[in-house]
Amino acid sequence: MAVASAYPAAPALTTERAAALRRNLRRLLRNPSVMIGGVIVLFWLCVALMAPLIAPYSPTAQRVTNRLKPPSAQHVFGTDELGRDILSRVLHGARVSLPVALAVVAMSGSVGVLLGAVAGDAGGLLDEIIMRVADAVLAFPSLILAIAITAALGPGLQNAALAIALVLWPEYARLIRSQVIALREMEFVSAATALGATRRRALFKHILPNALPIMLVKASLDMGNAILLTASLSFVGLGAVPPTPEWGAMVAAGRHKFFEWWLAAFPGLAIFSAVIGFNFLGDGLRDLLDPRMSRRG
Amino acid sequence: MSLLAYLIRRVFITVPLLLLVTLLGFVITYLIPADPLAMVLSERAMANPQIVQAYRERWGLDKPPHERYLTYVGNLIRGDLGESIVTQQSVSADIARYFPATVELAIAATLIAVALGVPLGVIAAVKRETLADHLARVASLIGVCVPVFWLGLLALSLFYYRLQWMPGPGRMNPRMVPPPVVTGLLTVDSLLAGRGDAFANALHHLMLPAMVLGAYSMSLITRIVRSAMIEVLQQDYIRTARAKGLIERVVVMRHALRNAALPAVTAIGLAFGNLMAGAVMTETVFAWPGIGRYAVESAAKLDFAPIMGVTLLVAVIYIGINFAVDVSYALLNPRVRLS
Repeated sequence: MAVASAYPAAPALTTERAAALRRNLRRLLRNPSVMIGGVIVLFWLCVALMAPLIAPYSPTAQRVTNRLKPPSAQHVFGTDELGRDILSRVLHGARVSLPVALAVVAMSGSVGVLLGAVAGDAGGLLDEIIMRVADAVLAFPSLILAIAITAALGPGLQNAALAIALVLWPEYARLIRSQVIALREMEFVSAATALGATRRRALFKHILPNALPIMLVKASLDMGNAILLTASLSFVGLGAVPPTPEWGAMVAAGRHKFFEWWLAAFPGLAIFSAVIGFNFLGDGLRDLLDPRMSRRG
Repeated sequence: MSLLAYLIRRVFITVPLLLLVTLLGFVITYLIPADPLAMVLSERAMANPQIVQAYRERWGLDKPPHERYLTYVGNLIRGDLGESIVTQQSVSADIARYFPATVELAIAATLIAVALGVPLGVIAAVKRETLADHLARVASLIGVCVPVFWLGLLALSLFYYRLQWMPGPGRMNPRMVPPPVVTGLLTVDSLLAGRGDAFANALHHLMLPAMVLGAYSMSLITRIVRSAMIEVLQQDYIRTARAKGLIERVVVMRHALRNAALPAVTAIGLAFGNLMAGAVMTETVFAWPGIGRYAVESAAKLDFAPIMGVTLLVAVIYIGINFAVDVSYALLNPRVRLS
């Protein structure tokens, strides 16, 4: 803390920052992609939080007399082969997919940021090793590598999440590394160093915070990615195990039932809408960032 | 830098990458918590330390990791990808059998993606910020976000089950005699054998999965062609072309599209790599007997050698395509070589 007081923030800068923040917030709310994506994401977040309250039935309650019923007033999305209410399962599915995606993004993001920052900051052999490993991971299509790792670790939602995180970290590492290298040359970093900031302080207090916006964009896009990959792994039987109401696994349950289209249609729609929400959000945020990024460099 | 020097440099980047990829494959293979011996030996044999020791020596499991890695790479170079526990066959033989189906599907999907994606991208760029542009943008976003396996199921349910416009899963009507295998691509083999009926049937079976698989690539190509065209259309030489009175069609098609072709080539190359991954899901849904379905079925049975074999093969193809894209880039654009 004593170190922090050595760099008093100029009051003029703060007001300017607040004004810029307000300006950005207005631009944020005027951007249609951010709005559409934000509303969809917010919707699914609310569903995930309140699923037990809003779901009409239990997601696992079976009623054999009620098997494979088409959508009706009682069961808006119909029922599955065990007589479970599909709407309730789709709503509860948000409590599976969103936390898993969040965990994946948190894991791959933190590992990627750490390795990318170290690589960009240290340079030399360490940089070379980290980035070549990242290149090797990126040489595999993410889904196929995730399938291989999950199969090696053993099927299950946790292992699937771990596998997806292991597949996604290199992109964060690349992004952060390039940011660290670019920002290192910026005047405000030189100024901080000239004032006596250590290398580590410059990295954590000046460089990484400035790389944060671009990370948020990446994280938002990756939430969609993670949801899609988790669902794909569950669809092929490597992710969630029954009776977990996971969207991909639910689509798989409808695989060979072309007549009972509602089995696959609604859970798939849930995956699709959640993924598109996070993509809209990420795309819109990137649009907003772009002008600032170009002004920077 | 001369073209040759550029190529040599690219090779120097690619070969270590391939080695690292195999190292990764090796690490994942040895992540498996289960003792590989437990899969091949009976419980009684596992209890006998002499048998276990003999097996360990026989498969080199008693050697230190770096020696095992060298053996692993040696096997890979000889094309030995191990043996499938389920089919009891060598993985290379299995892959050789399933690979042509995947290639046929991927080529068809790429053709569809290019045929639709390039015009869509051009139209979106020329009519920038109009309804057409917004529609193209939304369409490409949908293509990127839609789960391929779900799209495939919906397409089957609609076009095969309800409308009956399309045939069901598989590469060909099972009652039809397939043409003699030459390339392994059923459409090409049918033509070579002069079998019009087989060709029509194979093509008909190919259409729906190829469209489903191509949706993602189409979106990617649309996006990149659009942004490349927008950038090119702002260049001075486009203004010059317009100023000298060329009609817009010539400006767009001859002057702009040609210069936007470079990023488009990259996009198509990368999209082809992604197709291989998408093929895993599409093949599973459409019961398409390619390497993707082979990998998924092996994964479901925890038969590890085939999964790793397919994974490595796809990574090598991916790296190969990247290499080819880089080289074609350098051939098409001399400026690349200078950087």
